[in-house]
Amino acid sequence: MFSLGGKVAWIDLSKNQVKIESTKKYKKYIGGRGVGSYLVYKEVPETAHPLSPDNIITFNTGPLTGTLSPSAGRINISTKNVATHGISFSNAGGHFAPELKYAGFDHLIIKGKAEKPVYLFIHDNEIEIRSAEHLWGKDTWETEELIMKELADKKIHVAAIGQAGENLVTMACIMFDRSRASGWGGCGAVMGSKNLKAIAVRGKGSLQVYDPDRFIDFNKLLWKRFANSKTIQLFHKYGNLGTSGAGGIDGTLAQSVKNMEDEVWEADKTLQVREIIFKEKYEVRKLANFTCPINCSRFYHVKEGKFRGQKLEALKTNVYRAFGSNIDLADREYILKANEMADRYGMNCDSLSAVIAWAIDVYQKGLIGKNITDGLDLHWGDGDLQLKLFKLIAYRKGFGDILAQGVYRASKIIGRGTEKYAMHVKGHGMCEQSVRSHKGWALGIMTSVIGGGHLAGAPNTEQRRMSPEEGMNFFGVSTAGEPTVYEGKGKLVAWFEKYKIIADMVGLCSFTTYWIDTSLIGPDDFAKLISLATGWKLEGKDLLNLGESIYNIEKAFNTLHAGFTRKDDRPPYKLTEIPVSSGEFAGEKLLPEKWEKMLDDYYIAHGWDVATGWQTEDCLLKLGLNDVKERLKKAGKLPPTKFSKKRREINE
Amino acid sequence: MNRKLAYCLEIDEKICTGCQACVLACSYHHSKMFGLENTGCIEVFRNNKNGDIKINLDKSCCDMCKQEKIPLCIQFCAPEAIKIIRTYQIILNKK
Repeated sequence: MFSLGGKVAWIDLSKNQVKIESTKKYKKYIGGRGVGSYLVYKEVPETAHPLSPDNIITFNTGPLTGTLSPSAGRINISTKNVATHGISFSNAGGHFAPELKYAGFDHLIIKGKAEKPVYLFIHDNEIEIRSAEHLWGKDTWETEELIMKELADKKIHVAAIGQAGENLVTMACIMFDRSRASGWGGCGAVMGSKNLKAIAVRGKGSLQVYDPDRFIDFNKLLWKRFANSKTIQLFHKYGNLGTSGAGGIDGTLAQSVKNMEDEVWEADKTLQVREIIFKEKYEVRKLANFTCPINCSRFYHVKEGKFRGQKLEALKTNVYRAFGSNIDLADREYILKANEMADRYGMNCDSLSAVIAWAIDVYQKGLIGKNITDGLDLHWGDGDLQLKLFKLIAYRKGFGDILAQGVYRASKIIGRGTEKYAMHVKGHGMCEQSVRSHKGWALGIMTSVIGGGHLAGAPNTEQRRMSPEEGMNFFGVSTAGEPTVYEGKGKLVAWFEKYKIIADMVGLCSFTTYWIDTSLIGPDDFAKLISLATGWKLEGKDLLNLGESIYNIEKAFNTLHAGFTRKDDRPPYKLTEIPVSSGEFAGEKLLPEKWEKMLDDYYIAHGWDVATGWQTEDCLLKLGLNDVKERLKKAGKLPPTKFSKKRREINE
Repeated sequence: MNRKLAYCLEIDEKICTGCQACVLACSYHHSKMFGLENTGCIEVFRNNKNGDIKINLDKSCCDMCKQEKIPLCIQFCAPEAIKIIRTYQIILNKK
């Protein structure tokens, strides 16, 4: 098999057993998220709690992982979502995924629960289940160091959970190579529930592609496209943070401010956390993901102040917003420290920020008091408070135990009208910018099958102010670049949802795609890369169809496991009621009537039922998903006949 | 002893972003395969703890990608950390 490690490992931790099968079996789903989502759909029973041994967690590489394609180092993690009880997929960079393939494995499927804490050591076609009792209680950084020491090999790459994962915190993530997070869906807690502390990989093998010479020539061409892209040049210059983080390079881009109360942060605060200041004061060097021509990452060294001596690879745009503007904190060093501690405890920045910002918000609004917060005085802009809450959450102590359940459940537990300030999508915490003003972006976040996040299908075309010609040419949507326009966005989001899956299937970063710049890798380019690498004959339209199929499998999983309907694709209270305070988008909010129309367009674009938001028999049959159709039908979750009473009831 | 004009590569560890694309390019040149070990002349070691990057370039194995106009590792180095250096090869007189 060309361009593949060749093996899929099924690891049953209850039985302490590893079974190997050929990757060939899963060719239909290409790899990565395609295989991951399919397996979660197929293997996890509807009755399984995400933290039960019946849930599986899958680590997936793609056919381009470990090759010389741009940014070919992504690992996909699919599992049942701890926050939403629907599907979860997330994606991390670093160098873990290629190493896994060089060790001979394309996918790891882990089920059951080990009797005592364990970690996996995967090396050159072998998998060892080793004791992790000495690692339990350690943070992700300590875990990596101890494993490297134990195995006496500094070339090992480690995926680990911290204390948050061990303590089954809803927003626990998995950290790869210390600073690369697979954040979504509480996948760190799923690992913790299986008593699986870490996975260490070391591979000394090589990958052979189907047509090496043409593969290398095509990649040379792609590399040139990256060098010529103006957007990529911005990444080179300013890193991930500079392009859209601290308000963009000119500081005016929309933010998430104070539990997403607003999109505009005071200029004096934004100026404190501009990329240029991070660059001048702390930047040691630029860093890149595996084979990545973008180098969006930076290594920082804090040389003075309270956190003197701190060294870390850091600051993605979401981290800056989550630990900065969303809690109204304009202190660079506290933001960097929060970045470190979230990495160490192993917690996802978006959902962690969502619950902390919500707690401060409802405390400030007088809905909760010190009797609920265990005496803590919650106020905005307090870096020490944020760090203290991280610890309480990771260890589930006192008030932290409530917050550890995520913003949706915490607000349900506390009640008192705090629920309407919980910023979540389908029960998963949210911390996003521009969601009032940029309508397509907002739609992509709300409809995302993993419960929010902008990496399922939220288009970036509005932020880029794409011209009508370009929008029409690439997506058939002339309004793609107009932030405040609702029309056309349903179709646009549906397109991006099926397209984004391609990058997740093959193992490349979404920054290599049209999501960032239409001069980069499109559907036909992906098809050419896969064909040259594997010898499989594919065209761009085949990949888009497959993307649509996988999105439908994920959507069906949500309907079956979490019971989502149209009402779950609506934005939370704040976004429809509290407008943007000032600036270019002053007065903008999501208008319910227009939202519903946009949602109709979105369902129609997917071929789904407008009244319920469910998938239709026709759409599933057209995609060849007969088994999905049967399963939904059996569960009574295909749309009822038109105008029936049940049809109306579903959405009430 | 004669001197002959020659060229070799030099990689700037400060500019390098640790992406290892050069390692794979070199691996492809020497073996038509993609791997990090025993297949090429470049080894990149990245220390995630302190941000250091160390590079081993085995100059005795590097043939500057004879069939290419520019060595492949340079073509795939986005931060432009790899340079061609003009040097002299010393040819020892057998006598």
